[in-house]
Amino acid sequence: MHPTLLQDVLWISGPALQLVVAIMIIHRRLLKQIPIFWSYTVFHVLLAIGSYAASRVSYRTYFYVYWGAEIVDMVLILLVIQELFSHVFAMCGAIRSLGQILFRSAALMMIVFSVLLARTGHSSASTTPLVDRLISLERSVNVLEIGVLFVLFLACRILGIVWQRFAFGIAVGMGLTLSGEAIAAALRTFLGTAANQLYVWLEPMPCVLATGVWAYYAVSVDRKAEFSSSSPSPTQLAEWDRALEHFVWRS
Amino acid sequence: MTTVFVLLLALAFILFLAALMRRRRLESDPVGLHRQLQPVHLPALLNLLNPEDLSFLRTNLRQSDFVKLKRQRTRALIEYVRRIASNAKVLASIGALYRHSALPEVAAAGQLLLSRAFMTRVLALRTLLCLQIELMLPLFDTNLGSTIKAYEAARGRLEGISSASLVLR
Repeated sequence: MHPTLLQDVLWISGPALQLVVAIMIIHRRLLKQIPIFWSYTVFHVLLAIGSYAASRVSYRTYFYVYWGAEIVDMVLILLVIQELFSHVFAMCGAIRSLGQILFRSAALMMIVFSVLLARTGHSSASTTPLVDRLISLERSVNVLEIGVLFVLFLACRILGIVWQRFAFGIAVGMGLTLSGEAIAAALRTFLGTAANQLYVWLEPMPCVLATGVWAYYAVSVDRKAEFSSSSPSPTQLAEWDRALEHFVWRS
Repeated sequence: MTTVFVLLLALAFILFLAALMRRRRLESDPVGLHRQLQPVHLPALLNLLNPEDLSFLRTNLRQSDFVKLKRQRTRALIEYVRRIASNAKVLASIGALYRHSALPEVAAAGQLLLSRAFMTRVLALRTLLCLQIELMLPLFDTNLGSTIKAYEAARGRLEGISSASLVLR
């Protein structure tokens, strides 16, 4: 397959899957629960169309659309993570406010860390210092967001909070996007313009992978409803009762 | 150096995500969850917490012997509370599995179990922290009353699920 064709497939599959996710969110009536994630998804679909149109105008137009959107994207991802914090901790009644406190503390810590990282990290000699700076910024923000997301996963693990299926899918997909983009940006920063071609390939891949994860969770979220609608079999219940009684008596 | 750090961080995070997904699959299996429950002998734990025994030992033993004994007692308590915390986490997962049941009684019992187990987990973690302090400073006393009460309440919710399912049978 010719590389440009594969690039086209990569370029189209991401927004196409995101369109599926956005439609599924509306279809499953999840929009009220995750409005920011939905906005993020729709933003990416519109961005794909906008980028395509900009690329037809001129490289300069495309450049500004791309990097302008990247900055909006960084902010949106942080908002999606905040939404995940609120969503996950909303189920915990008594410590609901802990989610926001935890998010703010983690974000603050990671901002300091990312600023330090941006100051210490320098790219190789390049003919495009603006791009280098933007990629360096992207890398630092990715590290920040990975850190905040890690705190969310860790807090859930420690406190024993049970994730809802789709929220878990969103978080995993977001983690994949951020990690992949951080790897791409780190390599581009380190290797300079020599890695441009590699960057062009690496950058959209995690996004497509993550969108695949979201699409899977968005489509299969109905399975949970299936699970809910079918009552456990009597044998299963009896087994359950025995196990519970056994536990109660042993305690 | 920074690049290597970012690369390692991102790769480690991907591995972490893979481990989480694997673990989540295990947690959605009720049989596997039951196997994770550990026995907690509450009468023995309450016996260990008897304040009269402790004050008797405090007055009749030398300070150094008392401290040594109290550390042993704290270690035993840590093991108990660790099991309570671990069980609370398992109970929360069990509650979450049944929370979405179409049968209202089972769903309500599942929801109650989930919230009780969650509170028990939080209390147990707080108690564990206090016990770790007690291990370092043996004269510090930890109150386990609220944790045990919460655990008993969560256990009661398990019975709630049992009875709900019995009614439905």
